[in-house]
Amino acid sequence: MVFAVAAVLVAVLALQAYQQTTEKRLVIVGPQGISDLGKALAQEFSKKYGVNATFVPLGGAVEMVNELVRNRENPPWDVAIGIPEFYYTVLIERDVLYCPGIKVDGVPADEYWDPRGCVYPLDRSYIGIVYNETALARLGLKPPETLDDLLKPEYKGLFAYPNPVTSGTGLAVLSWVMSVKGEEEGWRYLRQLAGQIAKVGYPSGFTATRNALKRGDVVVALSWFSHAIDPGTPHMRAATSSAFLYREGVAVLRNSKNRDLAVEFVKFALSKEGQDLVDPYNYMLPVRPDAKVENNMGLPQPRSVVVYNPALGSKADEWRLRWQREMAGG
Amino acid sequence: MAEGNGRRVRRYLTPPLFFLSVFTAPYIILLAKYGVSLQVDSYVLWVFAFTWAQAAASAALSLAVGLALVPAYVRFSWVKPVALVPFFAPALSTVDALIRLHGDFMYGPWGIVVAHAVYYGPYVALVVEFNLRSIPADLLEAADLYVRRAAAWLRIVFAELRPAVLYSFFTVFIFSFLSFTTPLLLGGRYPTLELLVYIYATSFASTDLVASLVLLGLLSSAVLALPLLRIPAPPPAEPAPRTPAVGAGPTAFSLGVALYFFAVAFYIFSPLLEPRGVDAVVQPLFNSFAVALTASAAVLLVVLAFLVSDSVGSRLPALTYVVTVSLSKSLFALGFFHMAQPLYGTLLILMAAHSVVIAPLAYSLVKPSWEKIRIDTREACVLYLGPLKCVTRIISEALGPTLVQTWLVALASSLSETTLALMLTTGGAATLSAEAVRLLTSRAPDLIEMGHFYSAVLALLVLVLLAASRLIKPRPYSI
Repeated sequence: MVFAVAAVLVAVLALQAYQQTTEKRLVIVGPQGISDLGKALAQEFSKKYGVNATFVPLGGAVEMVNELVRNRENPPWDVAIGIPEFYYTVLIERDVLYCPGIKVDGVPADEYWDPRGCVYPLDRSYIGIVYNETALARLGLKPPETLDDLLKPEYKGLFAYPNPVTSGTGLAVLSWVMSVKGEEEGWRYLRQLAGQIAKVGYPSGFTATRNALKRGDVVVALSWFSHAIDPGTPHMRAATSSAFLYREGVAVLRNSKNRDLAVEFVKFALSKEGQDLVDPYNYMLPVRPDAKVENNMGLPQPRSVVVYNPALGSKADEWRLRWQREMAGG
Repeated sequence: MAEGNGRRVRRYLTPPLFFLSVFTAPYIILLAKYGVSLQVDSYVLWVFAFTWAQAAASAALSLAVGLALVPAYVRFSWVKPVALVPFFAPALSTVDALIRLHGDFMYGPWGIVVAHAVYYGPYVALVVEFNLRSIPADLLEAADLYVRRAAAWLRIVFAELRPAVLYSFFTVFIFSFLSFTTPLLLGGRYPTLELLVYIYATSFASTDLVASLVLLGLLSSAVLALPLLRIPAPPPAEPAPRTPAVGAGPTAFSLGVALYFFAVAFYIFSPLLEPRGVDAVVQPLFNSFAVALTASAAVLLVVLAFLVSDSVGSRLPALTYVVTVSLSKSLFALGFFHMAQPLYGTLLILMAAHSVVIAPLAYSLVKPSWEKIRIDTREACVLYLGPLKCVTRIISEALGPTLVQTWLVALASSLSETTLALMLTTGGAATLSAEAVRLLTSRAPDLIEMGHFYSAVLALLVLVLLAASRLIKPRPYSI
């Protein structure tokens, strides 16, 4: 009996595995935090092209990039969304991506941030200081305005930023701090900041951070400005003195089993139809000027914007490793 | 004639040899892929030293906790099943309960040691209790009659308990050394070598980082395996003709310790009172059962093949057990990933990996029952029917209840498994244990609460299966 049931199950699992490796379907992978947009894009693409496209969430953006590298020879996915601008070179260096070199009409030339034509712009927004206005008022505290303000004793135990070992948001924070403070001063700052971290520790990614903010376990965070317009976090506001520009993209995997379909998906994601889904499903700004924007109409605008410095690209893993050793846990 | 016999014997050695090859292949692939590198930096050396230190501290504390529990085990039979809940529950469920019970303390290095002691203490007590019950009654009576000083009495008893103390200390040391889920759930600030392999392999694109750990991990495994071959196993659980007398003082203290374990058991299951994410649990649950059912059936086949090999006098299966119990699961998972990468993310790859990892454990459960069958009976059976028919027709029938028990234990073991799921199916088909770990390590309050519920569901399923395995009426040669 046991063996008969097991034999049937093995057959089913083998069939599933066989389908995964051979079936003509599109598997889109992306960070957990981009799931709503991923599902919406998959659904609309399936409808339009009459194919079976599915979205698979995979941890944080950084975790996803490393899984793409680990599985580069035979990936169970075809196309990746949510690849951060400041952590995509690792995919190029490890020959993970297919670079079709396409241009999509309607996307301004300055939105294309990968000069090799492998990663295509999908959306963008800002990472900065966000805070729960009501909770701070209740505590009688003034909102922080600058990175240095976060070191003030009154914010001790109220603050968090995501773990850069797994999260794109977390790595953006690291890139921002290193860009504005320099490496030596940046690490000193992060060590001091570690003493301010709330009891929940370093959230694993966007979803976890949003959740901690929503519940009030974290009152001040280095995270997305979109929290300030998200109905799920109604008391959140953003400090607009400065912010880091976070841009993310979409790319076809070199060893995708459905490469042509994957290229079509990239075109679809950059089309007006695809870009119209960005604002309502991802709380990000689309890269097409003609795309629909409603939620982000009220997005706080930073007075100064720190953009990613490509010269620091090779430093990302070194920073993450050091952060993992010196700052992780807590 | 002798040559023909030799060929026949060799034929029956093929299954364990094949199994050993499959088991060792991932490690060989790792060495081939990453090379032999001993270039370790100061951080890796720190992790290495911490892994040894926490394993030693965990073994010592587990022994102390285990010895403290023994009087309660001896006097009250109902204490044992409850105190053993943290041990038989999946590690993630016990650690999660401890975090809720002790709060921030658990995130320090001592949290890892305490978690291991809570996990393995009741197991140590079980091994020591069996040993205690195997002490000849006349020796205990003589000691009671003639030894006046408590210290002298204890010295006599502890001399008899030496096998259990040594064996349990060393096995707990190995289990703690190879700990993965506990440091992962406790924040990752104090990783073991096992966890560092996982972090480096999955979070960093550079293979150099993992390469420095491969040889270190394998050498440690070899160092751990060698003494295991030499340390004698403690006496098996036999009902004693006379229960050792335990005084009121030690019993009261022991009951106090047992009460703590009751609290831990309560915390393991308490999230069941507040169900969360019930809809989302269905798919991972189905995946877990699909893997567990297929893997446990495959495990039974391997066990039968090992018994066939045993019946012709091979020591290979026993050697396989010793080798497998002390090898790094993270390195196995990483090697298995490279070996079967085209199946990454599927349940099939997980099923295959579970079968290989759980089979030696299952064999170790069946082996004592097999050895209890009279040797002349076994020899006659093999002589008249041949090893294959003897095992598949007669022995499997005779060991039926034991095999069913083993199957249930294999099922529970597969459901609990986390390391392989995290390294082989992330971004693919998720199992309940992997999903629970993902939620519990997210640091998001809502998700963590959902993780509490998932870990409690997992603990319930595993413990129900293990309880069912104890309900099966054993034959004289049962586990």
